[in-house]
Amino acid sequence: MLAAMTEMCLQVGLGSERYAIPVASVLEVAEPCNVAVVPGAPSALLGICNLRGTILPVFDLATILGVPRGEDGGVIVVTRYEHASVGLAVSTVIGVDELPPPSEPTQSPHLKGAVLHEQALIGVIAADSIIETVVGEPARA
Amino acid sequence: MPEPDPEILAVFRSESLTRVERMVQTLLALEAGTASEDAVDSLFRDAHSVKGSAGMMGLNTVGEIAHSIEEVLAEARRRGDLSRELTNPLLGAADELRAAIEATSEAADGVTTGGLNPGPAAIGDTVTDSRQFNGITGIATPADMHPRREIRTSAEKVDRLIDAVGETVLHSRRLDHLMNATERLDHDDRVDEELGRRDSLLEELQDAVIQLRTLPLESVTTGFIRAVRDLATSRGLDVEFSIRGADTQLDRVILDGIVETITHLLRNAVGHGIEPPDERIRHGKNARARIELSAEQRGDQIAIVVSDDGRGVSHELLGAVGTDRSLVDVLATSGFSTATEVTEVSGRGVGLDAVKSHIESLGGELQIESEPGHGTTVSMLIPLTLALQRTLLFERGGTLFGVPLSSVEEVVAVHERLSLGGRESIELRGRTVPLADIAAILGAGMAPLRDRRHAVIVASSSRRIAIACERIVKEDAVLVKSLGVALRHVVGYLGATILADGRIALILDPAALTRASLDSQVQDLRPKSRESAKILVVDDQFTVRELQRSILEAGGYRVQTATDGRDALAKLKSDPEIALVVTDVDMPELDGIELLETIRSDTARSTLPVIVVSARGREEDRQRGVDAGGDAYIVKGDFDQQTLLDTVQRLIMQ
Repeated sequence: MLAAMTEMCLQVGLGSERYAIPVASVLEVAEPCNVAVVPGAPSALLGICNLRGTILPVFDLATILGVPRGEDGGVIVVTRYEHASVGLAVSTVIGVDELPPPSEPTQSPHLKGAVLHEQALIGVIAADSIIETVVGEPARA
Repeated sequence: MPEPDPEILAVFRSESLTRVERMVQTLLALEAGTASEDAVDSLFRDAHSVKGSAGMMGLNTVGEIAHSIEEVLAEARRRGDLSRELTNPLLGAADELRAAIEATSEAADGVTTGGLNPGPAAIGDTVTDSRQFNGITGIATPADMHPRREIRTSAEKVDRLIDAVGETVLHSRRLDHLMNATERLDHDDRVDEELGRRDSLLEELQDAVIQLRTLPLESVTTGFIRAVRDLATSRGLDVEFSIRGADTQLDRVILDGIVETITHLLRNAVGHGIEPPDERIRHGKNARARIELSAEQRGDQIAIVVSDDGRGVSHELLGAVGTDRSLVDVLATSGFSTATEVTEVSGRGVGLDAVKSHIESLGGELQIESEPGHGTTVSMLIPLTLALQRTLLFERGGTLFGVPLSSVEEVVAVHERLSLGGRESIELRGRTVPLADIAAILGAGMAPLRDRRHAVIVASSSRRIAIACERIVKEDAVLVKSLGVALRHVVGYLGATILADGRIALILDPAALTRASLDSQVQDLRPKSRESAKILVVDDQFTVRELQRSILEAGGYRVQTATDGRDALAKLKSDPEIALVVTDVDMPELDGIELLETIRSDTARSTLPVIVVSARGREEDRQRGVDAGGDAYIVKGDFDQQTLLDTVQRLIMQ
């Protein structure tokens, strides 16, 4: 029997659903900011933000995952992407937790799987591939 | 003999390459008759030094070549002159020496590589070898100039300094803004004085740092001289090549990227511009043709011009130029060729559109003028620095946009809008200029434009377009930052900037704006998705990648590029759509053979078709490619468009 490998994850809320992003991919959590819309960018992009003098693209995690957006907390989880940072907008940030390995199956290609933890079903996000798919998308109409 | 210490080896390499470079310059000067009195002595000393240090390091190959050069030069020194017939063989020997010195390292050391100049153009290759330079030193000065005091340091350290200064400038502006916004109860002269002093100190700091990023054009011109000379000699042409403004300073990053482009244009000029001497005489011209490369600063741009007094373009071609198609457009149409026979140098026609897109990616512009029978002039206008750019900021629908000031012709008040075929335009001094809304150009849904009272006239590639806007904000020098890797596919922007008040302005790409004025459906700037197969092109040289890209895209394929084996593996991992790989062999980090082996050992991708394209044409190289699992091997010297396309099609069908 394989030893269970827990992973430190940042739990976030999107509407009523819960997701987790491995802490290894998270650079920081930032307050909601005034995004500047970029006309012609992929539909999942909310816009770009001024993060202490650098340009941070902010994608809407709910749009990427195809789930309904909750009331907007608009909190931004800044994640690592190649050598730069990318922001993922979520409704709320719940906290950091050690989660057991994802054991439940999921449909979405953006999730590594899901885990049942403290009576909640949490989708574990595959941070590396999630942005890559969005980046390749044709621009919105 | 024990292996030499890698650090000492790196220093040996960069010092020896500097000497070889100086030797080449001196040889060329001797041939042209412009060398100083002690030229032969200087040649001998350099060869002798390289021989000596190579011997100490136990590098026998290098030592032997240097020794044979030294012997020839010793004889010349005794006689008191160097016979002209020796120039070619000595140049060839210098090339061999350079190659032998470079071969002494397996891994390129990012800190101390010294080779700034493109290597010689091997006849039969469509692309010259060029090296990327990492250091900020100017390479060897010609034998007759005073040596400059130089230091070597890493590019990363310089970039950090530049970024820090840029941020300091922005910070001080934000501070000013805050101070103006909050009311200060008393107006303190001393504070104002210090602030004024701070401004001038910052300006000086910024200026000095921007200078750090620049290098004179002459640091790369030896390669150009060689390229023109070798090609002209091989084709029996008599060409006088002059360089004007070689001391013009260019941003290091821009210079790096432009070396291959200039070489390409020079080879084009020799390859299809210049006529053989007897043909020239028949047309009443001097037997000796002239090609000039010039560089000069024009405002906040640098103009680099390659001009020749050769054939010029044909009358038929000029006929294709119209009011909305400039000569650049006609020549840069992919696949177009101006040579009636395909030669190994030019006649492929795919090069010029790569040049155009490269210049535009630097925020610059390509212009071409030509007169049949008289010659051609190609001008590249590039921004002075990639750092601060003077920009015109305006507002449209609550969004802040900016356009580089160098592309703004003027700003007008729109009184009357003319309409034809559903497309609007305005009248400007007797001519019409298409009037467009950015939302339409970017293909984006934006709030409708309520107030069209102002328009910014943007000019690029001899086309103009009037961009409607609600409010002109101001003119400012801004730090344009890239939108980032995550948004690299988004079309239409040079980047974005953060203003003093913290707001973001999106900086538009003038070339994209004016291009839109041509399309009948102005929306069409979005990347189109196609069903066609996606191919990964891997090569460390920009020109080769772009050449292969144009060929494949003209063949209807989608293309992704990578700069070396490691980059290729990353791209393969992240993009499952890639159906075939075209790869070079000689690349830094992971070479083509290693890449191939890695692909074949990965069960998920082991059957991916791979075409190896290499300059190495020996039988054993082909065998190596086949043994590693390559599906096809094409030699760069034999290269032609149809072979590549046929091979790709055959492999993709399997």
